[in-house]
Amino acid sequence: MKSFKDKKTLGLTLAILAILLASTAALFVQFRSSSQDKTTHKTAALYQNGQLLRRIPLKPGAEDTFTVESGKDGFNTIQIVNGKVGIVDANCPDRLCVKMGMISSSAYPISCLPHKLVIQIENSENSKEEPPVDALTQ
Amino acid sequence: MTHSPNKKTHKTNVKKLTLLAVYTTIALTIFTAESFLPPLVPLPGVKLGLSNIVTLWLLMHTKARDALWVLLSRIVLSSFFAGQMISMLYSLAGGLLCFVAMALLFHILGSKYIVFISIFGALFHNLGQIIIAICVTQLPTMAAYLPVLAISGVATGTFTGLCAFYLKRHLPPKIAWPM
Repeated sequence: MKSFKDKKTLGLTLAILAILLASTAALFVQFRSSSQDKTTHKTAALYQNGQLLRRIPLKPGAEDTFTVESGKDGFNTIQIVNGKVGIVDANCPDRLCVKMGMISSSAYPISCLPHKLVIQIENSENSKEEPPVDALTQ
Repeated sequence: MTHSPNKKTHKTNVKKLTLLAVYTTIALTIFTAESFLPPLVPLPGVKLGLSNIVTLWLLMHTKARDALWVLLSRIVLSSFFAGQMISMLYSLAGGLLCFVAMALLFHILGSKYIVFISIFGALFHNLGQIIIAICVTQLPTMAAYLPVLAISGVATGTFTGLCAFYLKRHLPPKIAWPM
């Protein structure tokens, strides 16, 4: 029964390898994003059809609600509250984008695949380039 | 249609075709019923994939070619029912990648390790769907879902694999594949 043993070890090794790979990758993403999310310069980048629609700085206290149209009569209503961004209403078939809730972490983007809409949190240093509101008002 | 010279092979062909049609119906029913379940985790691509039990089942009982035909029929028909052509693209990429991985592994491992085969099928299914998602949105950032999809793939693949495993154990082959 040599072949039987070979198959068993092969199957087991492959399965364990896959589980290890998957969990380390997930842990890596979680760890990397949680260490990056400590920065205060967070921006929500809104992409549609691969094009950057707008980049919204996620400052604490900033609030905004707007609607993005897609196609003939598709829409996604996007809300920004308390440094979090999310899709609060949409007319895509599965409404997974609404169920994904509000995010403030760069770990996973919010996506509405039927409307080809993606919201990604970016912890870039670019947000520093934008003039701070305080400097303008003072 | 070509006439089979041998009456017996003709008869078995009809029988086989009918059986495969029945299995397509079963797969379609499972797929539709599953689509009514609320999503377990609100992430695109996380689903049980229960209709993969039928593919695993057919891999264990007949040629890989037959399983492929049932899978393709199920994908095309379910996309018609869903009314979205874009969903066919996701299903086709995921389903075909999953099938190739499973058929190859089945060839090596055999039906004893159907759970492992199912896990790898689920992983490759998710991989195929993410590839399409990257192509559709034109954003490589969609690959961020891959790790969590890999974990869900291992979990759901184990579940569907166990379903197929225990079905095989408890359902006599005379009923499962009466050829």
